[in-house]
Amino acid sequence: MTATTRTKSRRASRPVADPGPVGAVPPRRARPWPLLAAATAVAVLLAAPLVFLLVDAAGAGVDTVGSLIGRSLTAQLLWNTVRLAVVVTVLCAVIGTGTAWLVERTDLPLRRMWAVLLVVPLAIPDFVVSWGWASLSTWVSGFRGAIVVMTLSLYPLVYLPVASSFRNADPAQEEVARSLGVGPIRTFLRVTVGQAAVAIAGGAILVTLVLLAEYGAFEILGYRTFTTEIFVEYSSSFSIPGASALSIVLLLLGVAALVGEARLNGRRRVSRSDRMAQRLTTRQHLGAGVVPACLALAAVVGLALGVPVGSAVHWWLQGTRVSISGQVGLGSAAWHTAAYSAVAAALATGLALPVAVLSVRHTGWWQRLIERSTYLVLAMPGIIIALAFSAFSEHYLGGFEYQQAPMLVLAYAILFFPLALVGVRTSVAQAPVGLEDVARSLGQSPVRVWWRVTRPLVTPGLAAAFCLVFLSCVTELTATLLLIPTGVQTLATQFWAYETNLEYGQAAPFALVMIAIAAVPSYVLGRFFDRLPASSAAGVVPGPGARSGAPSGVPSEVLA
Amino acid sequence: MSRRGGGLTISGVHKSFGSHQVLAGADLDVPPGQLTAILGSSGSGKTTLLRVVAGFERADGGTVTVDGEVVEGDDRHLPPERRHIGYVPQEGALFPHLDVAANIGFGLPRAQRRRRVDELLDLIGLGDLQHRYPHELSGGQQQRVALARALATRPAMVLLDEPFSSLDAALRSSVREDVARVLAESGTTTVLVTHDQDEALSMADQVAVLRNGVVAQTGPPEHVYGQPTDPALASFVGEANLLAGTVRGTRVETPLGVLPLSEPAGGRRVADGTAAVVLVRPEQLQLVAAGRSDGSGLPAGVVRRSAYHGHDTVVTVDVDGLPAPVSVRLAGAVQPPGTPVSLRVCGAVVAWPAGRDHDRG
Repeated sequence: MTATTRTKSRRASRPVADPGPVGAVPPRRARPWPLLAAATAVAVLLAAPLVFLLVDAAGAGVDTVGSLIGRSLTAQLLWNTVRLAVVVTVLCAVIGTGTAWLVERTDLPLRRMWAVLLVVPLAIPDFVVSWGWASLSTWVSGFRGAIVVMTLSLYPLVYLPVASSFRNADPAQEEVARSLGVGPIRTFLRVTVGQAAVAIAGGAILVTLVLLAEYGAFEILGYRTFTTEIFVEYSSSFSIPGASALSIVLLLLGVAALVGEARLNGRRRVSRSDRMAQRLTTRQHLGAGVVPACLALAAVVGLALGVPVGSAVHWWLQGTRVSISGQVGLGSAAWHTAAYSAVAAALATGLALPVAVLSVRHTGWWQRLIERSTYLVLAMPGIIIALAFSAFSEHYLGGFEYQQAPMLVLAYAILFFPLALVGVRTSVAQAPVGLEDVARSLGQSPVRVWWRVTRPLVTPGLAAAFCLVFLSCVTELTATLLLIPTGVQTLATQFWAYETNLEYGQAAPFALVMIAIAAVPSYVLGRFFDRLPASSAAGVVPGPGARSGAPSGVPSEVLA
Repeated sequence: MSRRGGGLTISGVHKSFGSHQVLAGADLDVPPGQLTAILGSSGSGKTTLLRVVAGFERADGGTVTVDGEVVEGDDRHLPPERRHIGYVPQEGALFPHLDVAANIGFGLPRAQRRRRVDELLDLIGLGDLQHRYPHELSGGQQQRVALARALATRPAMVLLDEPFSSLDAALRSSVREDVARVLAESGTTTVLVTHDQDEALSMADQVAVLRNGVVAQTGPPEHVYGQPTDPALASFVGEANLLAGTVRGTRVETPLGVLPLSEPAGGRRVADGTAAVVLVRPEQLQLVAAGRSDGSGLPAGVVRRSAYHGHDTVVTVDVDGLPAPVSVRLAGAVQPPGTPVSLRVCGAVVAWPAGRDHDRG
């Protein structure tokens, strides 16, 4: 019973940080009932389309729906959808990761330019890319065409999160690998790609989900997937049971993809030892490889950006030779597009607010359940939401709200809720509770604290969330076609009408205006989110304990 | 409202989060105008105690009195903005959208802002940085601004929650000195929460050791270090050699010799002739450069290893007849392993009754 020496040296101080820095979740506070109620209401609203769909299917008879699911068409669509999803997702992962590595981790010339050009294709609606290619050559059609078009449209969804992950990755890990005698190539495969694995998986799941939801692009290419078939069943044959049967399978595919990604992600941990001391990553010297690298990037940008834009310009010049301002209906379509999108964006941002505050500031199983349930929306393509809404209005409102503006706006808000949540969460995380505590200890009332501290900190992020949803609404086609008010056209539907009639010259200006509306703000948005990690690493807020990852890791990677 | 140096009384404060009890009846008296350090390991409830005092958490039971006014207790919960208690959290938590001057002036009425901010900038010596934003400051500068912001409204007291733990070792001691100076100049009652014994002992007028949600001991630093109330506390507050012994009147028989007993801290004297646990701090031991057989009667041992710290050396010695080695702090140089030595104990030692409660050595 001698010499208990708990401390090695009394003089050596141990800076072992206690949990509980500014950004961390405070030790459970009193249950925030109003917030919980609001967030629960949002979760219920988001689940509504799913409930309508199931009620609808049940109304058609379980046997009927069962036999409809069992028909051979389902198997064929399943094969079409799954093989395309696998091929495109893999291609996007490879292209997205490769380009991100070149831009973020090598001494590539003109890096800032490439960084912008590689992302811009995201602003071009998939159905415009599809039209751009298909209208030039019949070679681009069917399975082959779908692979080309969708890969070129969607690789930025992998590029963005992976580039951000490369930017923020801990360079020490690569250095350690090298010091352990692992060569540069194996270090890249084992450490660098490993660090980006969560981001790659997050991007890949988005690619898969967008593929599942895509209608316009496949319709143009003549490639049949669940979504195109649901559209046909509903709008041509008016077969509600048929449409809901296929919708259920489509929904299950989406859920399976989400669950798979969550499982993959659950096993991965990405950590940085010290976020405060972020060092610049040393860049790989390309040497003679610089020429092929630039050629490869030029090819990607040329195919993904040059072809669709060039094609649209070509058809515009070829076609009516009407100046954009003289185009009939363009002004009205642009106005309606902007109005619907703006209201939907405001609504989605407002709906995301209680869920985001709850998830950033509070812990508990109910909060987690609400947050996770909202991610279910990710698995719900626009077609399913539109279908559920129209069925609901026919059953319960006598068709009253169907094809009315509120229905369309609500559908947009639900469809793009996950996007809004990403932005709003980021912005709420910018204003940690610790700052509000300090402000109150300085004698400020809660209302004044909100005005002087919380409001200025969250506003930029809320604006970003608004823009994000706005842009997505502008380029939305599938739900819009089904729910648009009678006698009204948006840019997307008017484009679609002309395109369907093969009036490419008339369609082109609408495509160009859509691209213009989407491209500029998405560049600004990109810059906004680009700056976030740097500022949060350099500043005091949010501290190392700040939580930023969504449970499945998916939405947070959309822009991160 | 320019109150200076208000006293703080915490009595019987309880706080649980769900089924997890964090504070189990904490009692503490903080005298006005002094710096009191609350020392505890992580999970001891020290941050929660601070947050209860600041008004960010509600206590489940007990009272908190500031300057004679109950701010927390029974049915009363004064909101944080009406307590006049400054708060400096771990990372400083400067408002990222405001520059240094605006951060410091945040809690002040507009009319007073200019003058008071200038005073505080002078006090913390950052006058030339007043238009910088928090992310443009070093960690130490951020801490000093956070302190100035808390002092700007002339609060009754200031609470510091591990304010130096995010700073690196070299910076920490200089910022610590700056902060101590600023606090002393302003004469503000201060409560500092820390897990760092060195920080608590060197900065505080009074140290309170928090353990399992209760204050285990309160007193001046030398008292807490020299006469801890139990062996576990002795080990927590610093390096401790705990020996078995038997009390003989005002002395205690130990393998290191018969040593004089100091007045017991808790007033609990060990009964004559019973077994005791004896605390010998490493700096109470001296090495006598002699062999085993010099007949001096001093306990003999052999150096196992030496840890050189520059300002001192900690030598671990295997002593004949002791089951575990003892630590000796020397001002001198390193002793090579294997060196035969004799040990001498200086000054009085503390002893507790040997029992299951304390028998952890």
